[in-house]
Amino acid sequence: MFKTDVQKLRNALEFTRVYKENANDIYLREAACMDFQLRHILVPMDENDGIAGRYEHDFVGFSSQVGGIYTYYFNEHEFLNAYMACKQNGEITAAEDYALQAVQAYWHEENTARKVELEFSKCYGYVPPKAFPGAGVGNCDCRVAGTNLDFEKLIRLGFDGLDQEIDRAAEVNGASSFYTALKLWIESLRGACERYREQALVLAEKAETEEAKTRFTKLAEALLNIQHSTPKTFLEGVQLMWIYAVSSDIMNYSRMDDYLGPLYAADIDAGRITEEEAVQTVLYLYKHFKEINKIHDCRVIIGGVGRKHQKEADRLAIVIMDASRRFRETVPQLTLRYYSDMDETVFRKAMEVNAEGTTFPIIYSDETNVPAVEKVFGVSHEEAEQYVPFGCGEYVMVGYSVGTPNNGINVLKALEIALHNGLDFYQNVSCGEKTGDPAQFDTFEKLYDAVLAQLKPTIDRFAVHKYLNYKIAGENAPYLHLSLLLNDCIARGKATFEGGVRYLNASSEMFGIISCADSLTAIKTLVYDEKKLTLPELIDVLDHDFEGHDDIRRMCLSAPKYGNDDDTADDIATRLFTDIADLTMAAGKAAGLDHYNIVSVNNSMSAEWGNFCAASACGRKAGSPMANANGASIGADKCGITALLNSMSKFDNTKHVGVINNVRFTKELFKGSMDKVEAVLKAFYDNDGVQTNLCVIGKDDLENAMVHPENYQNLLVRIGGFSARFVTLNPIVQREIIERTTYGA
Amino acid sequence: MRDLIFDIQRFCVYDGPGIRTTVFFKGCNMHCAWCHNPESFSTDAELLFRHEKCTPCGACTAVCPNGAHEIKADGTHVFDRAKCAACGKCAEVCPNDVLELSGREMTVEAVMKQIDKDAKYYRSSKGGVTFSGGEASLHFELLKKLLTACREKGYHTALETNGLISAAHLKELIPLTDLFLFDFKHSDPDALKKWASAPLAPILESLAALEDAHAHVWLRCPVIPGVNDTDAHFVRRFVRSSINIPVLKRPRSWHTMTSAKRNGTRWGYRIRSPR
Repeated sequence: MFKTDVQKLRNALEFTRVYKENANDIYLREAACMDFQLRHILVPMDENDGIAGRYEHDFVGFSSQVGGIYTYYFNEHEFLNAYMACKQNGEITAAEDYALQAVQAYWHEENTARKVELEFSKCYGYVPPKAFPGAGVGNCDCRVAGTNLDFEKLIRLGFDGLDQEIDRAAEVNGASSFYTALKLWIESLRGACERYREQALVLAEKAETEEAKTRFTKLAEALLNIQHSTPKTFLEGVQLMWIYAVSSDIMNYSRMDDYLGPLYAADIDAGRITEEEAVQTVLYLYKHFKEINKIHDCRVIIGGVGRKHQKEADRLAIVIMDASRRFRETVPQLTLRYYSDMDETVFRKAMEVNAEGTTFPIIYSDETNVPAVEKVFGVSHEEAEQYVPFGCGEYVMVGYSVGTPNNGINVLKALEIALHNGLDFYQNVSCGEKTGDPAQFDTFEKLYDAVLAQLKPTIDRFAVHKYLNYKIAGENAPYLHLSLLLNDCIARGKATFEGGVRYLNASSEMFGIISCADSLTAIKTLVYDEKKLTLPELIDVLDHDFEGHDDIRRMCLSAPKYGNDDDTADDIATRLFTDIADLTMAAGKAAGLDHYNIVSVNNSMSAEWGNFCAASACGRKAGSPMANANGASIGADKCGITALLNSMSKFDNTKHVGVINNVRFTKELFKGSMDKVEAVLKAFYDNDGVQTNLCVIGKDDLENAMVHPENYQNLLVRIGGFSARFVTLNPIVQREIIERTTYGA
Repeated sequence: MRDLIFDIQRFCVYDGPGIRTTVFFKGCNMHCAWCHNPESFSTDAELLFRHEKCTPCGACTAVCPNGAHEIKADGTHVFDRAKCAACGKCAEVCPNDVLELSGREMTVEAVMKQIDKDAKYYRSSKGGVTFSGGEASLHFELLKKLLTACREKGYHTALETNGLISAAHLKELIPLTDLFLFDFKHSDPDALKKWASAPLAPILESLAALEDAHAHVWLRCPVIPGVNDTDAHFVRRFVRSSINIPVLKRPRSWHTMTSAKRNGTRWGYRIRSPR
């Protein structure tokens, strides 16, 4: 904490003044607000820094996604806590007190997310729930998360080059306050560099070691050079990217090996730096990642087709992986894009870093994903080559699209509600569709249709919510930091959300899709095919959480399960997946988005939301975790790793914009038979496999870590869309992780 | 004799090169004291009983046509193997996987359907299919059909054998088999008799026949402390140089797994833990 509460309250007053003074022009208003904000949120450097740029946000400000809200945000809860504390301590004057109350009342209504809420409720009469404890099949938020900017362009042009590009466009399209604001934004960034440069000089002066003196002297020089010139060294490249990212709350860093590779290679080849020094520079960057600690974001992408500087990029990719191996933290979410004729040494390094239990790099298959992205987004091959997974694994195309994922859909909950004719049984809230008395479902198809009917209205409404999320963001702000580095905005003279960005996409996150599919398979098998019991009888057993019916639970557990390469179960999983994907795509088109697609990428909410779901026919007890993303029902994959991967390969990859496949190996197998594991993974990536989240652990590590957490502080596990230190997880999630299958020999 | 298969395991990494699917045939013509697949001894189907997992709910007693299961008043589950006809009804209703029927008849098509599922992994890893057991060659006709079917698909084939095969059968198997995993357990005839109830001479004949045919052979064996971990077994030059020297790639903690599995069968266990 470098600011006191009272300072943050005063910043809120000032920010509000700047906002109101510029109310008549959204472009200049944002530029002025951002300039003010950058002067107050950037934390001064300290003697441990090697790259400049840390931030601490204020209660009111502008951001794509700070704290999970967006545009002009207001952290009202924190604001009020601070206000009450400062008032009690007598730290604010009477005039300030009055002004702060006015500010609170003002932002309560004026924050942009609130405007979306109001607009949505005008359409549908309610505000959608924000998180999983609410009843019903869905929840959603306002954000512009996950945009991957064209940092290659930033590095190639530098600030002056960007200025010139704006000038040229203004000559063609005519001057506008949009262009003026973009240039003001660049000037604000120069100002941030200059302030950090001055701090670096002071730190160099005060340095107690030669190493520190040199470090800060070089950094000061870099911070001066990048204010106008294009970066000439690796350090300058890293610093330029970072000052941009940290100033704009960008949390996914696109294809870092490609945009920094040439600078790295030139430095090494000229003997300016050693590989070790490059690793240290990367680690100084990682230190900032860790401080921000956005474990669900923070993607750094390496490898893949469609890089401009493949050779240099591959060289840097090795350095970046080595930094991750040493860093051994939950961030960055280092991600390697595989392709069949990639450099073998890069792939081998990825295997070795994973073998050490780092959970990184996550590996994505370009063989599968580039052609799939081309179809799902309807884009050119060249554009599709720029796909990157962000956050937990949703795709955007670097520089070409936005694709925020702001909502969760609980597919298992839809089944629960369908089995109770509109009642969320666990929550005892009647909030679903009246899809009919399940006793009347005389065929499996009727039940299946009822599940989709439970989902459709929410999917439709959330598509509208996404549309409003962008529309209202655009009405309030040009998002200068995005518009500057997203293709077409400058050329068209339009800000990101007023027609600037080439593709206005969004994604919708599925939860419990496999738990629902396995439940449907069990119902189809036991009720409709084998007629071992009726649907009402089964529902009654589920409502009583299998109490006194171990026999029926066993039948449910023994029914075919996804993840075993068994077509009976896999067919229902893929069918359900495709049907929901189609509903979502159609809803997006109807709402006015370019593309709205499902993702099956989960964080720990698959476990936590499961805590609010009744028992299910897959054999899951009430309140238990749901299967994570495209992983099998917990512990239900029993036919070996190849069977699991085969099941995971069966989904139609032209229907989604991200799935994740959690696969856990024993250290003994992964290290002892690395060639064979590599062969399995490559066969998967070459044959419709999308990606793998690898987790490599010692055989008894997880159980031991629950008993002796003190000995396992560094034990990293992959949950789904993020990695975590096992010992820090809540016990529900820990237990779910333990019960997943670990593949050994 | 029925041709029973008791397991098909995918992603096997120790049964030959690359990634393999291993098919386990039921029935063996040796009886090794250390065998960790004791359910493979008998050529008949049999019930496996893992008493340590029993709750005991009594579901099995209700369905057994022969009264082989009994739950005593103190909750002890007594299984009378003599009465068991291995019909498998109890295994179907057991809620805790205490009971399992080991050994089922499978057609060539059914086995191949399982094998085919991992074809892409065989290709990517230069792996293939391994036939094991028990002693797979006891099921000569079915084995031959499966080896032929694998050949037609282009899969690398391996046969794990103890070498106790008739010369005529071996001669027919050689052209269908890319690799013999020859489990050469002991080179002393008396010790082999004592520990595996098997004669040495026909095994050496099989080895010679393989060598004469220039078959690809990996000699291997589980290293059993106090039984065969002797220089005489490992250093002795009993075959010509073209055959690989025995290498045990990965000694495993065989004894813990074995003792647990043994408890579930009729077979006792006479090897003591090396520790």
